[in-house]
Amino acid sequence: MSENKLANPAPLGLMGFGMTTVLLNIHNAGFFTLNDPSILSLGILYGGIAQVIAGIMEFKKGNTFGTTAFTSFGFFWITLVFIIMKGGADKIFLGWYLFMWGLLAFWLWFATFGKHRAIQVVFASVTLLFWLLAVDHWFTMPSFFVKIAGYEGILCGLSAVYLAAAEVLNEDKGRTVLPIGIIKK
Amino acid sequence: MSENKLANPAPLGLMGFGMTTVLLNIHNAGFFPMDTMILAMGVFYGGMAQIIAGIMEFKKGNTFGTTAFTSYGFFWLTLVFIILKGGGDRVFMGWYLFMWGLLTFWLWFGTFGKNRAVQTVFFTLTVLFWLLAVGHWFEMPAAFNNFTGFEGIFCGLSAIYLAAAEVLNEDKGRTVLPMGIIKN
Repeated sequence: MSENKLANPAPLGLMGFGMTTVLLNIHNAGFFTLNDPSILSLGILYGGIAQVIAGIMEFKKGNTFGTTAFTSFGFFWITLVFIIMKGGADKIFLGWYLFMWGLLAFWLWFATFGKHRAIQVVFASVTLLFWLLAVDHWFTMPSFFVKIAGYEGILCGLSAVYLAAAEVLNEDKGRTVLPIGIIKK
Repeated sequence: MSENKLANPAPLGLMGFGMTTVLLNIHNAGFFPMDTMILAMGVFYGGMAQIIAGIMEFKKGNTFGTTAFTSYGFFWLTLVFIILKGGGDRVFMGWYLFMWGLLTFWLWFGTFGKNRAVQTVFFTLTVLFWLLAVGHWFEMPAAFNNFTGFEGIFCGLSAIYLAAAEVLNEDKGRTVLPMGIIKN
């Protein structure tokens, strides 16, 4: 191991993604309004800037997957807050925006197949979340539909929080504290 | 593998470019009016994310990527600035688009030694810029502008495809999505 070993930026990025996703989806599940400063501030700063920082760190680590995923989803949050603060956009067109972000999550999911179960769960559930939200924007869905999307999003965010904790704790203790479902080759 | 191996920034830049291009050209194809969502994507993902990818390409020693990503990142920032300022003179905007097409045209020549996928991105982008320029210079029928939009959607999707191919092929260590490597 070299002296200049860099840290693992993934827990930071996963927390920025996960915590913001949980809070946004507590809104989607029907509990609180979207314009709440807690969602907007977490979206710009923790979901947004912290994830972009984690993505740039992944570049130095040589991790193309992490560079692409964290930087992209960081900017997703910043665009989302921009749209909300500007008073929203055309509903159907926003459906296409959500669909395209889902497409990114979908092909990134394929790149998780060689990794472990926990990261596969994060990307499968975020793909599903984006596409559920796209459908909710394209069509007039009953109100329980977006609530299901909200609960699905809370699970997605919690899975990222779990993975962040697992990566930090397992490295720290040098053993498996929280299992992440390593795939045996 | 060296200790200081850096990641490949191209998928990030290609996604910032590709996704924003697809969404703008859904508008150009006539489906939706210009919208806050496009402005947000233009400033942040098409703009800042691509500039970050361009600066990373500098550290990678890739002059082509540095020039292309940083330039197109700033293209998106200028475009959103113009839209927010209420738009420029229509014919002058045609020249602006023509010049960006000229950049793309000579960058296209820089792709001849690379792969078919990146050639497709730069060729279709050159065509897109110049179709848009013609649409600004002359009174063209609506069908022309719709066609331009569809051409742009294809261009953006080709960049998304290439981004996915670069990540998946590196990750699996084999060709998952072919990108038409040219045999020398």
